[in-house]
Amino acid sequence: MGAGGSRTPSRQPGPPRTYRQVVGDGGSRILEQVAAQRERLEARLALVGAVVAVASGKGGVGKSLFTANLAAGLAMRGAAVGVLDADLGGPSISHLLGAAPAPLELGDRGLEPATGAAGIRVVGVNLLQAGDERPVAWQGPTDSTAVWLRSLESTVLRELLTDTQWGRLDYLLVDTPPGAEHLPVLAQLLPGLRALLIVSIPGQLAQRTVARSILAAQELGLPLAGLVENMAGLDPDPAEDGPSMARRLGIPFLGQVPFDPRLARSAGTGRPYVLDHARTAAGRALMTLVERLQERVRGGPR
Amino acid sequence: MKLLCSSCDTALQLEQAADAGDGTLVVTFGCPSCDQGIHLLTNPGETQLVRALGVRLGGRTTAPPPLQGTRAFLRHPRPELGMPATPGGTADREPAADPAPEPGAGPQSEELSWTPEARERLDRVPPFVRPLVQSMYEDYARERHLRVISPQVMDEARRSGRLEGHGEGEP
Repeated sequence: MGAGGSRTPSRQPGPPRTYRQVVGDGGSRILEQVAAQRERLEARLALVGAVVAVASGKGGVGKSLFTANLAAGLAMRGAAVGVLDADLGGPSISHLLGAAPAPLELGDRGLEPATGAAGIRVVGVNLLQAGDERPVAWQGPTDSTAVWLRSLESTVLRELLTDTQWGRLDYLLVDTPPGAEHLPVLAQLLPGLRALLIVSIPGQLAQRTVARSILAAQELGLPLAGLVENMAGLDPDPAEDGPSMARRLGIPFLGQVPFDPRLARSAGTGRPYVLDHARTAAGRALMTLVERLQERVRGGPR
Repeated sequence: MKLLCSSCDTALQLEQAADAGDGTLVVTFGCPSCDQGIHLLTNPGETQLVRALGVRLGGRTTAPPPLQGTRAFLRHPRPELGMPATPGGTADREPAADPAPEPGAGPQSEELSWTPEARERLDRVPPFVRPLVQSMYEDYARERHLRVISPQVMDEARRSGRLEGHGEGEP
């Protein structure tokens, strides 16, 4: 940044006033625009019954697969469901839900979401870009990417939430990327978040990493609905099981999804496992989690 | 960020944010009290940071088009989304040139006149932003059904804050 005066000023004696002593914003009107952004987001989400985020803090725990099955389970129980894939670096929800990248419709009122299995509406940044296997990349000055990239990611998520024609939904699920560092963005973007589910798997390393996210969510005051243990039974003799971990960290334990290779294989089919296998152990566990989530959302503050 | 006039301790007001066309901005601030002014020249990183926030310096009168930032910054957008082709996007950029006419030109200026003193003062505004500043003064005068723009009117416009169009209150 550089600045040049039109002529040499004679300086005022004494220290200048400080930021908070000066009234107004100098005409930038940035804060006013940020407030308007928030109002537009709230207006869009006014038609959504409950926004529920699914996070983990650890990659590879099956969070997105769980989110897709959670969405499908909710739809099976008659709910209108949308899913925002907030994982900008590795979006996968549209694949898990079989939402084909049909020609997109972007009008003055926003983007028409893609439709996946069970009528679930889905939006992810991969649906907006050409070439399905291309990495999601942003353009800007290459010498200063770190300066603006995080701000841009937040803006993109806000726009995907605000500018998608979700319509009337009972549930909007937000599949967040791995890493506790994304939770503050979630808290800022979605002050009306109704529930945050944390997904973990057996194993000390995963649990330690997931615990960081739980603590971060608690510090941020996010509405922790509970811990879900995915791939339960994978380690037959875990040092700490899911219920114990939840107790230790002071959050509700929502339930376990038993390890089932068929569940993992379903990821490539574009059809959530629970839709066709609700009577299997994993399917029953998923439907139980769906019911518990609905109970918590109904019982929680609106 | 706020800027204070080092001469009179008055908060400078944003008058114009213009795209220099090379990934940088020229942001012009003026002092409402003593006519001091500065041009703030942002580097590409700072420019990108502002744009990444999805805001426009000086405000906007209408909501941005849907997915504006996403479409502008995505490197490989799908063509049906109408993505801008240039890095950083061209949509909603700050104006690169001033569309306002010179003093005395154009149909709207016929009903207004500038006193020689006011014209002289206007001429001290950097040419780069002069037409815009002129139009702001003329808008202020028209709203008050004034036919002549004098230095006094210019002072009133600056004091009113209407010139910059910003609201009052602590951000």
